[in-house]
Amino acid sequence: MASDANSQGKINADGKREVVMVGNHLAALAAVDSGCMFFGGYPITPSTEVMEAISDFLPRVGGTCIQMEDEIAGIAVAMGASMSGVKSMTATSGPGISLKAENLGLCQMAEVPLVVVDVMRGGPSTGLPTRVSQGDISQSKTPSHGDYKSIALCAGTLAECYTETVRAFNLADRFMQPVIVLLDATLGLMHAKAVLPTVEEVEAGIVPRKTFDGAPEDYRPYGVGEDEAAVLNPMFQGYRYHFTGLHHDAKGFPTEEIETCRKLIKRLFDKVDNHLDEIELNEEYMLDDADILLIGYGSAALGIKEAVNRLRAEGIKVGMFRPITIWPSPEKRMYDLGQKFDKVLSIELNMGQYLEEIQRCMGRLDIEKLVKVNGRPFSPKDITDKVKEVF
Amino acid sequence: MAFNYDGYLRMEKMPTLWCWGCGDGIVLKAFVRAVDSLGYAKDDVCVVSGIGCSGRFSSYVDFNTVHTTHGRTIAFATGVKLANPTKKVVVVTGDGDAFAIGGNHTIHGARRNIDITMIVIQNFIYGLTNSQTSPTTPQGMWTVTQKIGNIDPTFDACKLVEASGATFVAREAVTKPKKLEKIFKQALEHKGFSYVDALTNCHINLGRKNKMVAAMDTLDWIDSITTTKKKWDTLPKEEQMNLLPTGVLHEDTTKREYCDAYQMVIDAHQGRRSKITQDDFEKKI
Amino acid sequence: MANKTRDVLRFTGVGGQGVLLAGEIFASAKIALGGFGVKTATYTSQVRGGPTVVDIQLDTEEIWYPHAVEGEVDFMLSVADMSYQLFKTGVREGATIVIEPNLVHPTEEDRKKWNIVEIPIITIAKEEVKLVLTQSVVALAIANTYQNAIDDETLKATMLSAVPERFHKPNLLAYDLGKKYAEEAIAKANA
Repeated sequence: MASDANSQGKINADGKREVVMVGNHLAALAAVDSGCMFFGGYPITPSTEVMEAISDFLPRVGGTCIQMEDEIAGIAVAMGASMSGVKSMTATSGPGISLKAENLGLCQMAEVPLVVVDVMRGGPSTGLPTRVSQGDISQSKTPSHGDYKSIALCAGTLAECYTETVRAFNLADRFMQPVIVLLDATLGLMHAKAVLPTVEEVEAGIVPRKTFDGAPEDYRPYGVGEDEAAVLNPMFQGYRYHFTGLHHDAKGFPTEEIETCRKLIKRLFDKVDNHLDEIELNEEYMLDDADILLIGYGSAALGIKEAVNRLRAEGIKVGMFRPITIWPSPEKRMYDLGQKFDKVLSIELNMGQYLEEIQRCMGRLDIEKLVKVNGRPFSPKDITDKVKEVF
Repeated sequence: MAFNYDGYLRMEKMPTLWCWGCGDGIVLKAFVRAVDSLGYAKDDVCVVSGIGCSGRFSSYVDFNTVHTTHGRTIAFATGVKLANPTKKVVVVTGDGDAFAIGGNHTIHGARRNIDITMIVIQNFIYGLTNSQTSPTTPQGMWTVTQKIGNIDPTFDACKLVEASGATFVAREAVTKPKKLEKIFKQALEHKGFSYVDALTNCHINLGRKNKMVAAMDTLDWIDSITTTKKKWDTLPKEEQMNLLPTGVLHEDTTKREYCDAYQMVIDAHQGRRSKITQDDFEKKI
Repeated sequence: MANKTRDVLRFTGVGGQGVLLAGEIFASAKIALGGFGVKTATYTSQVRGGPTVVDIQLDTEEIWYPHAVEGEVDFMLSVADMSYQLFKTGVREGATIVIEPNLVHPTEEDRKKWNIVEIPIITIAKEEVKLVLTQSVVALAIANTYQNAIDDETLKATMLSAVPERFHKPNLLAYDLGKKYAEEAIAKANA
């Protein structure tokens, strides 16, 4: 049963860990294996199982899980813990991201590492709470006002609910900013086997947050290179500094000095843009000899993969490109694919939120689209029918 | 010998941006003296503030400091405290932060009885942004969003947090700096959610159109609406209604503090104690 | 064009009915045997009382798409009319649909299109096992007897590992009763 989610599973013949649980529990397990010691959140369908699981996992390792009074407090409490130096996470769904948006902005501005799991459901507004959607793709790029560079990872398999959460913790500490992990109602609640890296493998991949260990008077938490992330020491260890959402100087104190303001925002962009190779991750499935390119992500890719297999069995050569890091998008790879393939079909459980990005990256508008916004998943048949119809 | 504040202040940020005659400086000094008298190491203290004039407080004091979004101070502070239960976490915030946009966090912080000291710099108005109505602006006063006179009833902040579960509740005005310091000291020493309503003057933005444009006028008004709890208790109801009692209004040392309660959760999960049941709590409903 | 190594089972009812719990046991048992098993559940936002469908796919090959493909369901079991009507269309023609006759009312056309079998699942749990919660295990045994997807011993062992020890006895009884009723129904149909 999924309630046994803290079991470490069994090790298979390849030395990997096999567990049977739902995606939301896998995200919780990944957090704890990554060294997360704090979770704050507010219940919301279909993400609640993340908190239900981690409320058991964290106290077992001496960590803390708190259910707050609302979504805003859910992210604020996790940010408070993270500011003090503790790895933290919150989880929610689209309406919760809307409410957390302002603090996601503070998280970007003050460079607070935080993992935010967003289990997508149908929107807008209350929408279709228990049903699947990929409606938060645009939102995850710019949830808050102002200019900053989001990192959003989109799990496309059950195992990726785990591995992408692990990667999110590492990227959050590396780039000192929030990292959104997009799951959806299908992945979050499906119950099956997931093959995972072992705890030892996960631990070996952790690079701790950078710290400054010189003299406190020399400490400049935000006074870093022009494409580097802030170096924020834990609280209570002799390096007293200031967090603020205002434009700030090298020591973190508010300023409106023209050059400092310009450089700060430019740095928030460049710290990500100049290190895309550390962030980008895609899956390419049967692309080598394909004539038709299908692009999709998240749980929609499960239907796409099955459709690729079925179409190939009929002799139609299709392949799939799946961005796992959704933001920043795999710009160069998509450009190359746009050059290589005439026939491109974009498949999304929204009205085409990523299609615009694909068009931008490929520099062309003649991309077919298959969209669905009724809370139901794409079945392989939806996709095989569409491919036969348009190509 | 005069008290030297320099060691606790970020001197490069001085002078403060607060207006001439503003009581916020009195709150700042009383707070620093209270911390000093308790002997806390600066490294062991975290001060969290929100938005508004009070929001600047955190940038002036040489502790671990956090300037958060509007109204969310208690939620941020809760994260700092729960992740570091042995450290001292103080929220310094305003009446707009605490009782308008962040009211929900205030009542839930009090409900949990988490060991945070919450100081509300209570000036009855939105000062930084020029005189919009606060949940503590007296009815009938002029504000820039109710120029014809405010019709919105006020919160009694102290009663609100007490009813919500705070275990130390006090009120004092900047006109009594020594008493304020003593109350801060008591609040900081209290284990659990401690709340101080620190009444201060905003002669600039409350006073200017309410006929108390000089700092002293607004301070006199504050004195005229306050009296000690001891005296207040003896007054008839119709007089109590228009006076705010000062001093320690509520103190309860029997309730379990939240970090301690969470330790029970950890202990239960790690097999050091049995599951938590109703028997662990005096209050059953 | 369904995969030949695959079993696709569907359980439908209304939210809160225990019968839906059988899905996880099926998937876990197949995985324990070294195969692949996926369970998905779809609820309405009301959850309690709304139509709910649980799809289970079992295969020796990896399963990508986690829901059953419409028209490819090999076996369905239903304990609520509302959900039966909504989800029956996914069942391939000629396949078996087991219904709780007190609660589900198929049309004559349905009876021509599918092999509809009436077994009083909830009554068995309530009156013979005397523990209504065991209806999910009655359903599990019925589904497996028809579909023959997993060997009984593995399925029973997986079921027991998900149940507190003091409930092992009634759940084993529920399993045996479910199997017995299903075998009787099959024998009757073949007679």
